[in-house]
Amino acid sequence: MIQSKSKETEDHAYKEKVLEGNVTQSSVRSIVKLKGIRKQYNTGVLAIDHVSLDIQEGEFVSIVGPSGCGKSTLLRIIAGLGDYSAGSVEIASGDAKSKGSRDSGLSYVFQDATLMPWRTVLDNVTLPLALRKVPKAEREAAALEKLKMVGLEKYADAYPRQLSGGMKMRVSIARALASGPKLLLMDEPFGALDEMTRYRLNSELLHIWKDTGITVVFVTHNVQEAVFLSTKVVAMRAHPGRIREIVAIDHPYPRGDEFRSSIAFTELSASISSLL
Amino acid sequence: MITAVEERQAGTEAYAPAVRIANKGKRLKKLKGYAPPVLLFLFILALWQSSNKLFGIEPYLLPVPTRIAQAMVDNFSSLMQASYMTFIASMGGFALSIVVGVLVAILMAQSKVVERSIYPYAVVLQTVPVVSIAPIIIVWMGPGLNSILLISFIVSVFPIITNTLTGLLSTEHNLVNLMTLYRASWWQKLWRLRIPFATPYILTGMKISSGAAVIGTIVGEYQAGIGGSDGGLGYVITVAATQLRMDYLFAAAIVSCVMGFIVFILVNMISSLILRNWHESSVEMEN
Repeated sequence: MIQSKSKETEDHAYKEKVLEGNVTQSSVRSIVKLKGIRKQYNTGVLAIDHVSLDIQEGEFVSIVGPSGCGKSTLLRIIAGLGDYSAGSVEIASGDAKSKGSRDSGLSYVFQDATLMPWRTVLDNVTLPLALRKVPKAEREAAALEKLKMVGLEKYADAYPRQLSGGMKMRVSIARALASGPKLLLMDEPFGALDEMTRYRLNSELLHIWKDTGITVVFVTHNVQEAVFLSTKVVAMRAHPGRIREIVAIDHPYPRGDEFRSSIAFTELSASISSLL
Repeated sequence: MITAVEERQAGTEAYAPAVRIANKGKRLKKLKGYAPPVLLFLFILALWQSSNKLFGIEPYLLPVPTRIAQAMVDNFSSLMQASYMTFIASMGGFALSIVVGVLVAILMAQSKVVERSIYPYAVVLQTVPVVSIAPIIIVWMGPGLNSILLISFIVSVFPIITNTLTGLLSTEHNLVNLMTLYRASWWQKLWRLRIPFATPYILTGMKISSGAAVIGTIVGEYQAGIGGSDGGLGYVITVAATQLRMDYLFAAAIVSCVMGFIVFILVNMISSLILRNWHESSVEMEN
């Protein structure tokens, strides 16, 4: 990719400052730190501009916005899959772009399950560990544990084509968890599912998040989904993609149907929708 | 779309009896499917057998089926020996095509520049008439197995290259991203993702080139002519043609056809075996 970059690196003074107003505890460690991210395509189109975001360990942050606001682009940048024109990205202890470390400590769930159709469910889940050359018995035990977490341990020997859309997505989540990541990035993972399945997977995802203590960054165009799941909702606007506002969702966990049907939920959803 | 409730109940064991019944019905249907072509074949055979009486065609121009069958029986051992030679040579050429074709495709998939520089020459291999280069190769390498193998290879390599390349290049983008994310090496990406992904494409290329390999071998043997002493079917055809033994010529042609057919069926079976678990083309859909 031919692109001019004027990336500001290692801004130590910045580290001391707490960027977002709703963060008060300095003891909580940042796992993602974006500063002044700008992404311009070769065609000159500005995809995202001036995006700064601070995500603490253990948070569940959703990024919502209309299509074309660059929310997926932003997620790809955090993952190190996409280039950016300016700004800086810090992930946990290292830079997202450094290819040096064998373990990036992050996992990605795509919009499609992106499973390998020639591998069984179990072999799909073991993939990240197999790439790291973890011994077979060890990685299969770990994969089975993750499959149990998503309730699919009975389907370990099935092939992806034998599963429904919701089940495939569960396998995809299990695979993302298999490498024991600190940070889980999800790009509209439930967008293609029917509402019933999505609700169930939302609840299951919250369980997993609570049980593992993982940090989740969740991209969606569905405001209700974002409000239901998140500790913090980042509302983005398009042309160019910018952060409009960051809204803290203070409702306690575990959240269930009573939260979904509460007045607070409706009001939060409406006020975030009005920002987009 | 399967709902949440159905998802839990979708145990595969429950389908077993229904599948068995369906298979029985399918077998009967298959049998009915065979009937029309077989009947047509018998009808043409009868017409052919009586061609002399009905249309007055001279038997030395068109030997009747029974004569051809007789020629097959009379020359059984030499036909089998020739078939064996042809089979060995064409399988050798075919194997060489698979290995070289896949390797060349992997090389071409590395960059657009490499692809563009190699592709025209791969196309030339496909478009050059075998009969025009076969004599050159035979002059260069002598009329032995090596030159026959090379001719068979030249004829059959292109479908493997082009199909494998398509497969390698169409690998699902997000799966590549996933591998990148998990810091997979070039080798891991190739071996664990690109090659498996391209497998159905490679197998399609193999189906096409298996027949071509047999044809290439026979053309090569034919061109090598009398010089190719322990010759295959091509050699038999040369001999039979020079001696104007039409019944023997027909017998050799039929054996050649059958061999091409058997090779194709073999490749097809291997293909279904490899893809049975995951690829749409080999999986029997329930709806």
